[in-house]
Amino acid sequence: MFPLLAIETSCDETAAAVMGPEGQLLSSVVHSQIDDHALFGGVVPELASRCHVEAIRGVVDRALSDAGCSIEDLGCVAATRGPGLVGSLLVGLSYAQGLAAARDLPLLGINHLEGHLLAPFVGSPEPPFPFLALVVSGGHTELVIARGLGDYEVVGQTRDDAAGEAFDKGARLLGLGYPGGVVIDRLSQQGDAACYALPRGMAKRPGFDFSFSGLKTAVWKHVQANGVPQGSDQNDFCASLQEAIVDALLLKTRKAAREWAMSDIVVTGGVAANSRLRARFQEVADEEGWTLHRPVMSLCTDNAGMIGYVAALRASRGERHSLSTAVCPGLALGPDKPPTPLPGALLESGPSAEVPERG
Amino acid sequence: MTPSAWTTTLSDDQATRALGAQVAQVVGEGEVLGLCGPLAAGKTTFCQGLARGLGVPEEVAVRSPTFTLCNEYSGRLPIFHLDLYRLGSEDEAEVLGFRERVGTVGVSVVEWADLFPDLFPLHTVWIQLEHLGARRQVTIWPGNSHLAAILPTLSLPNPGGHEPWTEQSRPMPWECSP
Repeated sequence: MFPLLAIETSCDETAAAVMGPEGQLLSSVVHSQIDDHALFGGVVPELASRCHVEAIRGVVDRALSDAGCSIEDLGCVAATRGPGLVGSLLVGLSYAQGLAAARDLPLLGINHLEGHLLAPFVGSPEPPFPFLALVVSGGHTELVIARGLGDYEVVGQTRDDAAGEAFDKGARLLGLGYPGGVVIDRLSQQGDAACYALPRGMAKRPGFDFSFSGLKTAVWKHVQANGVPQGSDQNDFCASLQEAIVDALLLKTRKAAREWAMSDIVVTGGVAANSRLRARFQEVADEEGWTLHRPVMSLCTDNAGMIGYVAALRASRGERHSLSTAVCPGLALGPDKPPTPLPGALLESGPSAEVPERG
Repeated sequence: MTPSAWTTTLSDDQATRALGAQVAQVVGEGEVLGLCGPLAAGKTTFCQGLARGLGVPEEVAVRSPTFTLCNEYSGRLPIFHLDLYRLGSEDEAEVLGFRERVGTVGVSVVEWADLFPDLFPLHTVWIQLEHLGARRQVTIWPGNSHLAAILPTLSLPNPGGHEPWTEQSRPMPWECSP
């Protein structure tokens, strides 16, 4: 089964990682275009359609050489099968399928969100189920109860914009650079978070859902009435905006932790790298007696290490998927369902029969 | 010739969703809605109304596709909810499966459509949402679609009464962007 090669191409990043025999991360390579974007001075081109195709070979080769192994050594190959963009997912999964067919390796198609969910535990033998997870990124804001491997329930989610998008679009309205979340985090450190009263979406509503579009409107209104904040006022406004986002996330997380009596709390996804969010969650963890689990910074944003970790956990249970496993752009987190093979697919599953995933 | 457009005001999110739901009643297979307008102008809110009007159940969240780029929902027709905000060039639309879907299957509704107007088929209905004080102004270029005939009859739940639709000649959104 090891070394296990994992590939992630669900959206913007082309990434590959290699897991060793103890489930440890031997290498993790992310080909990001973030430096290219910074040149544009705003939120701009984040993706190039051909970038996955152009990058994947080099990224995989780099992950293998960093891990000190070659394609001939591999014991298993895995790739993200959803959720994400169909075209992007196909590049990674097809590459993995080609490799699995050519070298007669077991293949696993992995849920990208499950990767984020379990990212804090990469390198450890087993995640501490059950736990409550807040998955926060540019595209996702979800509260998930994780009872076991493949046994997940989404109990809260955003109704409009994700938390990462609130950072990004807030930064855009404030005329700040890209990536917005990083710039706001930096400017906020010199700002007064109590300076501006901005809305905490859904705070007074029952349930565990989030909403950040009202916050975006509030920032727009402020800029219309007062112009774009400058100097120390800019720092204060950024700190207030950041506080509103963190507050909204924390409020529902605390409520859910109490509702389901959870004391192991996971905060994961790109926004989990935000320094204020980390500090505030730690404060509340101390008050509530939580054990807080956060991925290391390099595993917060999209990466293949988290995909490899999930694949290793599943492979060790004997799971493997058909070589004709289809991508699933709308894949959600929930109870396990076996991946659907493509109807009439050219690739047939190998001699080893497919083991259905356990529900 | 400057194209014909219909315009009215929307008092709030509820009226914006109601407009989406009413437009949903007349869209058909292969139809394309190009949404334009600045941040927080109500583009995603319009899409929420459109999706509900097409029969997408309330428990399915209709969210901004800015980071996910393409969200899909199942209603009376498949709905492709796309967003060009993060695209750097027309070439990158390929990654959204733009050519395979937009204008061919289901209903496509595309936010920030005026960033790359040349991508769109000729039968696209263009909808611009703009801030108008605390309200919104909506302008629709219906072209030859079914909407052209019924737009003036659409009544919206604006508190204080519906302001009638007015027809005017107006350049397309990307021609009059500041």
